[in-house]
Amino acid sequence: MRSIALVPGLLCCLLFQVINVDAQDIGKITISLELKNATLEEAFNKIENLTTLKFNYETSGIAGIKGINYRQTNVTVKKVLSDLLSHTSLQYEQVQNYILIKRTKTRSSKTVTIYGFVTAVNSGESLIGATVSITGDKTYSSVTNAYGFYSLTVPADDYMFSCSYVGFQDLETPIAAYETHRNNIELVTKESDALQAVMVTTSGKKSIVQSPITGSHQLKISDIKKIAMAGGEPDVLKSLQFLPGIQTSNEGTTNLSVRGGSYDENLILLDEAPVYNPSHTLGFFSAFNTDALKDVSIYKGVFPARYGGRLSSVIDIRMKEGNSREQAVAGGIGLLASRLTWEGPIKKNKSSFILSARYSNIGGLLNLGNSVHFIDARTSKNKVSFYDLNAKFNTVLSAKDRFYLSAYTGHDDFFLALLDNSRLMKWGNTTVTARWNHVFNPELFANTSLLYSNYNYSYVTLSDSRDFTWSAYLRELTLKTDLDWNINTKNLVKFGTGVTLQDVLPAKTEPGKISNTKEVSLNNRSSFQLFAYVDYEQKIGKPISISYGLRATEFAALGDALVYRYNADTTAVIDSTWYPKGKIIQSYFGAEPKITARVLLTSTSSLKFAYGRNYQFQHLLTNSSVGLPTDIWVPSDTYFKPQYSDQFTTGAYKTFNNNSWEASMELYYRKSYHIIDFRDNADIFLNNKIETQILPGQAKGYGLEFMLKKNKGRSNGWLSYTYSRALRQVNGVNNNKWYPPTYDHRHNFSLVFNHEVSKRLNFSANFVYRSGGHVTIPEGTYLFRRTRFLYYSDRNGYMLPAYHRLDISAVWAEKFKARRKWQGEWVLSVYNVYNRKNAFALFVSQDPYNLDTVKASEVYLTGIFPTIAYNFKF
Amino acid sequence: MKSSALALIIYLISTTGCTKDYNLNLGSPKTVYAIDGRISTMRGPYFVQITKSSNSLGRQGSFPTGLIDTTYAVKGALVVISDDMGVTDTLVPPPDYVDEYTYSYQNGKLDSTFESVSYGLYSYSQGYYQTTKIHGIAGHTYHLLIRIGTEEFHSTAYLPPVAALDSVALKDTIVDPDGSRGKLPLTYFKEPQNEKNYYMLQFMHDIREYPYDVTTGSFRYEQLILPYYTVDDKILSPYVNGLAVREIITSQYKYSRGLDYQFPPGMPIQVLLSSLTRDAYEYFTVIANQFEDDGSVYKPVPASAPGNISGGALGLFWATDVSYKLVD
Repeated sequence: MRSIALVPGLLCCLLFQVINVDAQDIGKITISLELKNATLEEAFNKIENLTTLKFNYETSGIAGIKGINYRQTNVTVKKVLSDLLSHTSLQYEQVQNYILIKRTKTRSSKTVTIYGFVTAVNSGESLIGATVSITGDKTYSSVTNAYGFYSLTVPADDYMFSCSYVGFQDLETPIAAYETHRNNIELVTKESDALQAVMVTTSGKKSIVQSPITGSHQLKISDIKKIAMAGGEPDVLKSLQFLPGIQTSNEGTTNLSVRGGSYDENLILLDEAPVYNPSHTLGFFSAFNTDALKDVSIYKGVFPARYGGRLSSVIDIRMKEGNSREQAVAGGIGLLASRLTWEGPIKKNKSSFILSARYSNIGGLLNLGNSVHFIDARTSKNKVSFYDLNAKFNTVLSAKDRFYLSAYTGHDDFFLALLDNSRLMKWGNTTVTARWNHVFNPELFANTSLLYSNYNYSYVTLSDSRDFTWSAYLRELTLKTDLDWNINTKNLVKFGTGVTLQDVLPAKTEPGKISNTKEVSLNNRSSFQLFAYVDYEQKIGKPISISYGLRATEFAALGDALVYRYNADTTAVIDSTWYPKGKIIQSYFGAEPKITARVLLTSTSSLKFAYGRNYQFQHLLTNSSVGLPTDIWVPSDTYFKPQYSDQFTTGAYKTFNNNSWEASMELYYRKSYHIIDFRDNADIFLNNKIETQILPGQAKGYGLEFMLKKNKGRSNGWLSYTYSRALRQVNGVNNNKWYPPTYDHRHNFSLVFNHEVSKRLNFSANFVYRSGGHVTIPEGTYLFRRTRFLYYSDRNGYMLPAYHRLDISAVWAEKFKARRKWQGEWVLSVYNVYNRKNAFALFVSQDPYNLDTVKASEVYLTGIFPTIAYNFKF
Repeated sequence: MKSSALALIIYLISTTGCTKDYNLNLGSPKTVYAIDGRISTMRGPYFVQITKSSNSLGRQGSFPTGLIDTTYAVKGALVVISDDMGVTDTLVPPPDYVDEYTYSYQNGKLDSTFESVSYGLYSYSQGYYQTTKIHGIAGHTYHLLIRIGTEEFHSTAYLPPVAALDSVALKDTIVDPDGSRGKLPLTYFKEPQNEKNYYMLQFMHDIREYPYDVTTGSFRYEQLILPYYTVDDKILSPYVNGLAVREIITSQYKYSRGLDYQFPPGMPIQVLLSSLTRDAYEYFTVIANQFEDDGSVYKPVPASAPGNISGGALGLFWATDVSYKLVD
């Protein structure tokens, strides 16, 4: 019996012995191995070729490990295996000639955080909205914030780390995520075109389908520079007009009406400080020099809780930090205006600056043309000029701290005899912001800002024996802090708090030299706001992401001030009270809840639903559709109740072809309360009882916005269509009936097209079609003292004819010479190619040769309008 | 900035000037009445004109040769003006001729002749009615009643006292913002600071009816200017030391500006400072805005001039105290 058992046993031993005899000690076998960007599987194959060893492994288990670079000569296989498998969750075991590869640990429940800053390698500029992903079994991704900071919390494991940003080469690298650590990323620009390289492009790859936010757009500064513009000057605010839901009240001007709101309902921020008058030359140019800018985002309607203070939109404009690697100068010279930008490092890779200046003197040209009788400008003493300066300094204080200081100042002088020969207007904005970024820990990022805005405006009456200077100002100081807390990849909280102090002088007059006037000043209006917000983004399962937030503001109007009390219809004063300095005259509390839900239908399509309430505690008293720089901003008080609006939005979004194409459709409905309008023929000059000239009312609007965009390829651009209706109702205006504002346009269609013909030649075209705006026409005429005058009934009851035009432009870059630092490009553009004389305004007025007759006339702005310009950089 | 000079120059001119005629049809609104009535402290009679509104933009065609359209006149209305001292005056159609003094100025001396004068433009065929006995006295209130068929209209106007003109002078000064010089009539008077005042400043080249409430005497180039320059005392200093009298000129007339500001030596002009109530000030300010409207989008939305006549009539009934002086 025993002998039978013995035989298999002996056989096994024999086999084993036979195998054993051939088994090699991996601690003794030496090989030379060279691996370049190889996968682990390739490494194992090579070792198999060099030895008699055979590897046994689960293919999926080692698939994630690639990009191995290894070079060793005459080392033991044991060492090779230890090297290759270190920093992985694998271990090897030798069984005879087989090397078995197994997982060492079970998936750990430990989580680690990978965080850092994403910057452009050439300039060191931080990239806003770059997509950062960590991929393994699951993919975790996030987007960098306004300072280029990201944070991802993942279970400890090995992953592939990738980062992408439009205009830059994608970065992909393996990462061993076993400990929380900082991982700063530098991306290389994709385009080799030198002029483009330094321009920081925006708009990360996080597609419109994914983000739980509706009604937002980001514009690349490089795209803004390509869009053909009147006068050939790239303009941030005019470019936004090609997006759905955004229109201008009048052609050629920069005042924006977003989703049927008036132009004072947009919060325009430059590096977080509000800019109160964002335009030069009465709205023809915007106050932003695109050479100094990095990023422009617009949020329509339901905007994130960290923004507040206006009803319709937030336009967040960020300046470049300045190239922290090398010095660079860029600019443009033109007859109308010239620009120069100088940026560079102060301490390489640690601190940098950017200085940008722009100057224009169109009045000088008009005067020259007038004096040689080439044109008729009525006089050779016109004064139409402006300048703006942007300066920014930033420095890295430590691995966790960064400090920024930005300043902007701009000033306009405007006397154009053609328009108004009785006064010279002057106005200017100054903003200063100081910001400090601090990374508390890998999940918690904080930014604290101190912001100052000063807007002053004045006019001087000319050659009138009543000459005087009228002036007003608005000064605002805000201290706030914003925190981003990446709790884990399913939950992101943004919260913050702050306080704003504002001081407004609504009007003051001072006598001129030969004057018959005396000094009169209206009361200052002071106020403060204390605000706090919470914005919570939560992922519920795979398809649903909800973003909900609340912003709360406590507003108080403060003394010292003499406050009047009026009768029921605010036509007469019945009482007045004096409030000493600092005493609260009236306070209001505004709670602004917001919620957006995003439901992913597939990985490339989604539906979104949103609701939000917005408050606005300041009011622009403007008596014209475009607005004069001398319009007055006043804070809320006993009679100017804070305006607020509710908006409901729903939308469908889809991307095609790996984000090459994106399509979106949004529907919105909004209702606004406590909007104000002036009585007919309001007297607003130095009126310390201005409340008697204001009437409160309500507004509503609804619309459909459709957009189709091509992001990639040599031909790109977008098409947008908006159908919208806006209405207001004010007791005391238009016989108390609902009426449309001047900027209500039923249909609005825009097409922006850009084609890269070659490396040096770029062609763009844009087409706009818009239904006519509304104007007030008289109901009839009557004679008074033998002159015919007009009487009116309906406000804005007449619709102008439709507006449409086509613009084209071509940019031709000079040949790129590697050793020559100077690079230039020529820009040729034609505005209004088919010379359509679109109606700009319609008015009825007396026939100058025959006062008992009136005539209706249509004003048109311009026909075909070609321009040529030259840009340089070195 | 990239652009050609030509391009933007054209653009900026276009911003304010490229206009073309527009064919506007006003539809058929309900007809309303327009009333123009004035009482003053100057010598009477005073006039009230009643016309009908229309949807017509007015007479199209060539420059008129003195004819004014009479189709809008309202005749046969009952017009009564009464004051707060018990005087009630029913107005009558003006006669074709009236015997009154006409004035002239020679070698620094004011001279007058008593003669027969034609009212011409202020005729019943154009809807004018004149007073027979009532006088305008500062500090009193006047009431207007008009009955046309079954419709009735009322208005009340207070006659505020005006500051007296100390003197008037013609001085060489800057006429235009571009620095061009010329002569302007300047007024000197004490402005009462403790009360709210509104003023109208005018000047007339024709002094034939010097003390009479302006009737046949006309403002020169009346077809091209609006002689209603209004001033609010909000920022006037206690003593007004040379406030210029201005005129509101159409934008077309601006091309040949200054014609009305030509004052040949020896030719006198009459400068008038009139008081206004708030209603009258607002009315004249608004019609001046209509006059200056050139389609600029930088101007406020146009609206009807607020009148002070109840019953839904357009126009104004006003009472004014006038202080006037001659200057040469």
